[in-house]
Amino acid sequence: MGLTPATGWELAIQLAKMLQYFGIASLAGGTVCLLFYRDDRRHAIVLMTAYIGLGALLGFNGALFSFLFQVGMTNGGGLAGMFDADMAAMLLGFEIGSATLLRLGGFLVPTVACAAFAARLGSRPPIRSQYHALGLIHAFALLLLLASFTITGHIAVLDPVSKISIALHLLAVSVWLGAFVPLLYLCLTGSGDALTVTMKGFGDMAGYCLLVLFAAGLIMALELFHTPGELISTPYGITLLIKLALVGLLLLVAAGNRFILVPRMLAGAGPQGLAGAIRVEIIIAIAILAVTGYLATIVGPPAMPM
Amino acid sequence: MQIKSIFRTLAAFAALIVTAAAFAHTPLKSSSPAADSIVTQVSAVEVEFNAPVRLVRLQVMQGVVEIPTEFAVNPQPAASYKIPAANVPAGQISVEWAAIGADGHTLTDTFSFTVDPNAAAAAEI
Repeated sequence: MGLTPATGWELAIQLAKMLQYFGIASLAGGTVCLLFYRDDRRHAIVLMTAYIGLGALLGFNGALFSFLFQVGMTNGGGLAGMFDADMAAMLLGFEIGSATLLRLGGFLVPTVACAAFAARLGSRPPIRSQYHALGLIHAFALLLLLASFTITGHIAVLDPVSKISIALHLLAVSVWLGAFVPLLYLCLTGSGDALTVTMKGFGDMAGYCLLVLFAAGLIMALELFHTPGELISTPYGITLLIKLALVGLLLLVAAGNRFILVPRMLAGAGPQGLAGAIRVEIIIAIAILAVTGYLATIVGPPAMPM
Repeated sequence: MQIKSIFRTLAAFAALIVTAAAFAHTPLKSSSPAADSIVTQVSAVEVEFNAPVRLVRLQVMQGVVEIPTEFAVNPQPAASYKIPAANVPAGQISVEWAAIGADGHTLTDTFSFTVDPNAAAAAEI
């Protein structure tokens, strides 16, 4: 009764969780880019709205299938077990059901809002109040999503400080990683001073995100580990170290952007180098989401008996 | 070249996810009858977890045949459960269970034991 092979269900749940993480990242990062870093080209606005809306739709499916996979895993009767209505009704009455409903709502709201926003786009760019309305709707959706992570998961059984930490951690990482795709688009299609100001502004904001990310991450790590030695002696600790190594790699690339590539752009160089670096960041971000899904699904922290 | 490197990276992480799956854990602390044990008879199946869980499924099976028990879902989390099972026949028996942890995670596992009414006598010889 120790370590056992993870089941296909657990791997499926992990993939569904990755979709949810991507959905939250596209919602948070995409909205920040749309509100603060957009230019008023219609094509850019449409693409950013589509990125947020499609990300939220993927997140919705991730939340739905994650729940169905858990129903199937609990039922134990194979794929058909996913549709066991009695088991689904029972799980809906537990925390996992509340979290699923919050996530479904949190992803559905921006999906609909983005579709409505895109449908109203005329030949003239949207006015400021339309952006504000969309921003408020997305902020509400993000609150629902962040709240869902405080009622299930390894942190859910810890104190309120840890719960606030997981919400802030998730928000900061989502704003940071979720902005890569819109920034890559701006980098590939924009030019001149406006693009340089955008990249510099994002670099400054990413710095604040990192501060929140590390402070909240440290608070959670202190709760999840008894001793530093568990970082190298437990599967959870080793996986967390892999995640930290990936974050370190991402920081190196980000520092290269901030201190080498953006100043080069200021000096008149083209954005190709920066676009290449953002592509690398996107690949590392996907890897981080995969490792996070693994941490959240398959291995348990040493400070918890589950 | 760039697409190749993207695929290589994704493949590496897919491999990481699959191979790391061996680290998954089970929260079952002990059971009665114990896993892989040989017992002469069974009147109940007891399972003890590392922490309170909601046990949502427990099936006692002989092959593909389910043996009736008095299992019922208790919505309140508990660390140990005792499920009366009066009619467990002789032979290889497996117990399949599913539980929801305090953190909302779904946990499932199976353990087996053998019911052999002659086991005690055989051991004395």
